Amino acid sequence: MSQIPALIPTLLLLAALLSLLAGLKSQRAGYFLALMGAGASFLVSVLGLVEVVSSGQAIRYAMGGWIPPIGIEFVLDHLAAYMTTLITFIGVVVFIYAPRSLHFESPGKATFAYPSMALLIAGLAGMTLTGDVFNLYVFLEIAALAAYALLAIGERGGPFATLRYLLIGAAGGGFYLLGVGFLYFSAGTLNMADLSGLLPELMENRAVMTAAALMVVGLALKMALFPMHFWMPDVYHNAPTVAAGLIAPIMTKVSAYAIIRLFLDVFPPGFFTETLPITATIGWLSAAGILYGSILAIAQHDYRRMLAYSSVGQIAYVGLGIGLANPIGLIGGLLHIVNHALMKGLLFLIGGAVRLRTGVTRIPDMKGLGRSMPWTMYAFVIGILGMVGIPPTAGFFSKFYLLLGAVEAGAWIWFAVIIVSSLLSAVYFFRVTEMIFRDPGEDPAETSREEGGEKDETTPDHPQGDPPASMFIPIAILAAGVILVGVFNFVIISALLERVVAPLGG
Amino acid sequence: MFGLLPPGLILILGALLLPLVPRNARAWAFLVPPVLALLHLGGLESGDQATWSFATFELVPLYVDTLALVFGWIFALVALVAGVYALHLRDTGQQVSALLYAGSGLGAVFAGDLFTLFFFWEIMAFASAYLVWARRTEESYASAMRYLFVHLLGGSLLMGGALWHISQTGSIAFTAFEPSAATWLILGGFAVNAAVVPFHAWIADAYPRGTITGSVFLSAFTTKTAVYTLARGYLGWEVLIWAGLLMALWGVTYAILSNDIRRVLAYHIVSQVGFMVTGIGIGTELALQGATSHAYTHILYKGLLFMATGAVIYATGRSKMTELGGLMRQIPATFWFYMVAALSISSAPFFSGFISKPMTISAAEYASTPTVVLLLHLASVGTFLSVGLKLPYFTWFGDAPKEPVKTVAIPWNMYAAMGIGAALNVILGIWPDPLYAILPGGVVDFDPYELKNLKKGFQLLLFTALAFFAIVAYLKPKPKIQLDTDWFYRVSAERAWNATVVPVERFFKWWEGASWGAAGTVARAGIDPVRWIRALSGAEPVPISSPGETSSTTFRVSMTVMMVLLVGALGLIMLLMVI
Amino acid sequence: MQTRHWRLLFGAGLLGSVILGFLGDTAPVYIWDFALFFAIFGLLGCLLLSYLAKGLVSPVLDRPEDFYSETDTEGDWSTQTPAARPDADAHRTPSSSGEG
Repeated sequence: MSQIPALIPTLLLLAALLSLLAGLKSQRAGYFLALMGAGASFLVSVLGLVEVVSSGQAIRYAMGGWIPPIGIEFVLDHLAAYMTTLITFIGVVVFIYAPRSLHFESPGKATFAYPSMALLIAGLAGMTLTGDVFNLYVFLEIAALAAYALLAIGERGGPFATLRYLLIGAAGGGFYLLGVGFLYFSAGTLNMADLSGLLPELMENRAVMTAAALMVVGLALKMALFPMHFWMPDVYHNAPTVAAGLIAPIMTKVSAYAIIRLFLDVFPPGFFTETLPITATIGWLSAAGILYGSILAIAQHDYRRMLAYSSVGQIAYVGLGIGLANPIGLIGGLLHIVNHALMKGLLFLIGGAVRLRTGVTRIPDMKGLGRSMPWTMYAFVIGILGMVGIPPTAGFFSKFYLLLGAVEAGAWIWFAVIIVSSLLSAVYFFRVTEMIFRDPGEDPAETSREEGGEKDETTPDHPQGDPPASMFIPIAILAAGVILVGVFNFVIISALLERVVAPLGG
Repeated sequence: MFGLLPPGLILILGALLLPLVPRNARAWAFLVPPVLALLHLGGLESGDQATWSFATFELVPLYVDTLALVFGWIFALVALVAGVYALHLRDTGQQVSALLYAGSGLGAVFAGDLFTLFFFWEIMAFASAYLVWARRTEESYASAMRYLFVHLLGGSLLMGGALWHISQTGSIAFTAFEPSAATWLILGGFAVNAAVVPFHAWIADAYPRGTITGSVFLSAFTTKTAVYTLARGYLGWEVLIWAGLLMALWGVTYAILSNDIRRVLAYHIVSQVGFMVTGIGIGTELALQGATSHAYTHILYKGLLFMATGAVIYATGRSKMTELGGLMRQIPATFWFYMVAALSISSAPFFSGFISKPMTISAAEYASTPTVVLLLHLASVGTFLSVGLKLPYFTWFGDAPKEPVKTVAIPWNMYAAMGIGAALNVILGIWPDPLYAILPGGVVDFDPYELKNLKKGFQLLLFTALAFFAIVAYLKPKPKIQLDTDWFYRVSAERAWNATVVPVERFFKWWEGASWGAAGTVARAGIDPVRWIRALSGAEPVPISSPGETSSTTFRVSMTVMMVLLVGALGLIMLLMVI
Repeated sequence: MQTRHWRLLFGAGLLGSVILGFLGDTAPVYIWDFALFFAIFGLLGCLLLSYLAKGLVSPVLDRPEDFYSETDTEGDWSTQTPAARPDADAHRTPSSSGEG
C-alpha cells in the first residue's frame, strides 16, 4: 500500500521501455504493453485515491529507502491523488483511442508514439507525486521530451511548432531550475515538506523571493499563461490528435498544479499573496487571458486552432482560481482542472474522429455532420454545453465556484470577466454546433418532417457514420464524465478539494 | 400523486424517454407526461415544500403556493393541448424540446431558490431556441442563434445578480426582493424573458420564425414564466407600472403595422404582458389577481391564436396578410376558432379575456392614476384593432391576393386542439369561478358581469369595430417590416465584430511580427560579431555566405531563442521590480 | 344576403350598447363613468392608434422585408407544410367544405 506513490510512475516507465522494445518487433505487442501500463497505473491511482480519502492521511514513499530530506520522497496526498487519477484516467482513455487515430494520421510512427505516450503520462504523474522540488524538474523534463517526440510526428508544420515549443519549454524549465537553485542555496533542502518548515523564517530573504518568482515564471510559461501562451495555437494545430488529446487536457494543468503546490504546501501562507504579489499578478494575467482566448477563438476557422485559443482562456480560469487565493475560488480552479481536461479531451478526440471519417478540419466544412455522425455529435453537444457552462455539466460548476470566490474576494472585474467569457464561448461554440446540425443537402424532401412520412436516416454525403468503437468508446466515456463530474462535483469537493485548500484557512 | 416530486421533472423525464418510443407512437406518447403532471398537481397543496442538499446549499426544488399552482395548472394544460395540436408531427427533436421546454417552465414556477430557478431558466432557453431552429431555413437558423444569445444574456444577468444577492443576504431563497443593485440585475434577467421594452425585439424576431407547432409552445412559456417571477420577486415595484404601459402601447403599435400574421401576434404578446407587468407594478391584491388570471387566460387564447394562424399557414403555405385574403370560402372553420380567441383577447363579454384583463384595469382604477387606466384602455382598443379586426379581416375577407391561394387539408388533430382551446375560452368566459377560486390572495373583489363592466366591454369593442370598418382601406397591410430595438444588434453586429475581434487579432499579429523582427535582428547581429567590428572600423563589409545562415530552420530557431529570452527577461524583470 | 344580415346585427349591437350605457346606477365617479364614454373612446381611440401607427410610426420605421438580409423574409414555409411546395398535393376547395 505504501508503495503506491512510487508504483504509479514506475509502472508507466517500465511500460514505456518494454513497449519500445517490443514495438520494434510487433506494433501490437508494443501497444498492448503500453496500454497495460497505463491501465495498471490508473488502477493503482484509484486504489491510492480510495486509500487517501478513507484514511485522510497521505501515503509517503521514500525512494530507495533513503530517508528524506536527503532522499527523494513521493507523496500521495489529496491533491496528488486528485491529479494523478485524472492524469492516468485521461491516459487510459487516449490509449484506447490511439491505434486507429495514429494509423490514420501518422501511419508507421505508432511504434514510437506508444512509448512516448507512456513516458508523457509517467512524467506528468511523477510531477504530481514527487515531494522534492528538483525531482519535479526532472519529471517535468521527462514529460516535456516525451511531448516533443509525440508532437513532432504530426503533419507538415509539426516539427517547427514542436521546435518552438521545445525552446520555450526549455526556457521555462530553465527558469524553474534556476529558482530551485536559489531555493536550495538559501534553505539547504529540496524536500517540499522540509521547505515548508524552513521557509517561514526565510520569508524576507531576497534569494527566496527571487527563487519563488523564477519558479513561478518558469511554470507559467509551461502553463501557457497569457501572455506566454503563443506557442500553443501552432502546437495544437499541427499535432496528431492523440498528442493534442494528451497535452491539452493535462500537460498545462500539471504546471498549474505545480504552482498551486508551491503556493499551498511549500511556501508559507501569505508568501504568494502578500510578500510577493504572485497570485494577484497571475489573477490579472489570467483575466486578460480569459478574454483574449475567448475573443480570438471566435475568429478561427480551423477547429483545432479554435480549441487551442479556447484552451488559453480555459487554463486561465485555473489561473484565476489561483489569483483569487481564497478557498472557494481555488476549489473552483482545481475543479476546473478536471472539468476542462474532460471537456477539451473530448473535443479534441471528436475532432480526430471527424477527421478520420470525413477528412474535415475546418469549421465551415463541418456542415451537416449531425446527420452523418449523430452519436459523435451528441457527445460534442455535451462537450459544448460544458465549455459554455450550462448546468448540470461539469463546466458550469467550476465557473460557479469561481464566481462565488470572486464575490467573496470582492473581485468584481473578474466576476464580470467570467460571465462575459461564458457568453463569448457561447458564440464560437454554438456557431460550430449550429453548423454541424444544419441540413447538408438542399433537397427539400430531406427536410420535410411534418407529414408523418418515414425518413431515411442515411445521407449521401458522409456515408461512413460514427467512428469505430475503439475511438468512439473513449469519446463516450469522456462525455459521460463531463456530466457525471458535474452532477457529483460536490462529492469530489468534500472528499478531496476541501482538504487540499485547508492551508488557506477555508 | 408522486409525493413531493417537482412536476416539471415529470415532463423532463418524459422528454428524455420519448426517443425510446416507436416513431409513430411518439406524438401520442407526448401527451402522457402532461396528463401525469396534471394529476400530480391535483395532489399538491399550498405550503408543500421539498428541499435538496447540494454542496453547501439547501436547494428548494419544490415550493408550492397559490401563485405557483395557478401557473402550474395552466402550463400543464397548455402542454397537453399543444401536444394534441402537434399529433401529426414526426420530428423527434421538436417533440423532445417541447416537453423539455414545458417541463422546465413548470420547474421554474415551482422553484423555491435562485439556483433551481436558474437551472430551469437555462434549459428553457435552449429548448425553446431549438423550436425556432427546427424550421431549418437560413433565416430560422440565424434567428434561433440570436434568440439563444439574448436569452443566455438574460440568464447571465440572472446568475450574476443572484450570486451577488446571495453574497449580500446569505439567502438563496426566491422571494420578494428589496431594491438593491443585485436585485436590479436579476430584474434585468427577468425583463429580458418578459420582453420588456427595449429588450423585447427577440419575440418578433423568433416567434414568427418558429415551426408551426413550435410557436404554439413558444407563446405559452417563456414570457409567462417571467411574469410569474416578476410577480414573486417584484410585486409593487413602481417602475413596472411604467414599463408595462410602454410595453402595452409599443406592442400594439407594431402589431397594427406588422404584415406576417404571427408577427402581429408576437408583438401583441409584448402588449399583453405589458398589462400583466403593470398589474404587478400596482401590487395590490386585486392587481395581482388580475395579472395572474390574465396570464392564465392569455395562455389559453394566445395559444389558440397561434394554433389558428398556424392552421392558416399550414393550409395555404403563406403567412403574410398581403398574400392572403378571401379565405373564408376555403377554410371557414379556422376563422371561427380564431375569432373565439380574438374576442377573448379583446375582453369581449362571454369570453375568457373578459373575466381577467378588466380585473387589472379595475385594480388600476382603485390604486393608480386615471392616466394609467386610460392608457390601458387605449392598449385594449389597439388589441382588438390589430388582432381582432385587422388580422382576420385581411386574412379571411378582403381582397383575394393576386396569386390565388391553393389550400391543403388541415390535419384533424389541429382542429381538435383548436376546438378544445375554444371551448375552454368560452367556458371560462361564462363561468370564471374555477379560476377565481385558485387565484392567490383572498376572495376576488371583482364581478365581470357587473353592469358597468358589460357596458364598457360592448361599447368599446363595437365602436372600435365601427371605426375600423370606416377606415379599413387606410389600414391595408403593406409588405414591410418596422425597425425595432433589434436593429442595434443586428446591423451593428458586424460593426461590433470589426470593432472588437479584428483589432485584437491584428494587434497580436503585429506584436508577434514585431517580436519576430526584433529577434531576427538580434539573431542576425549575433551570428557574426566580427562583421560589426569591421563595419565600425570602416572596412569593407564581408558578405555572409554560410549556407546554414540562410536555411530557414536555423534562422527561425535563433529567432525563437531570442524571442523567448526577450519574453522571459521581460517577465522576470517585471516580477523582480515588484519585489 | 349574408352581409346585409351581419350589418343589421352590427347596427343593432351598436344601438344596444349605447342604450346599455344609460342603464344602471350612474353616479359618475371617474371620467369614464359617463354613459357614452367608452363608445367615444373606442371610436376615437381606434382612429388615434391607427393614425399613430400608420401615419407617424410607419413612415419613419418602415423598411423592406429583406432589409436585414436576402433570406430574411419570413416567407419560406416549404419545410413546414406541403402547401408551400410547388409539387404539393394541393387542391382548390369548393365553397364551404374541403377541410378535415
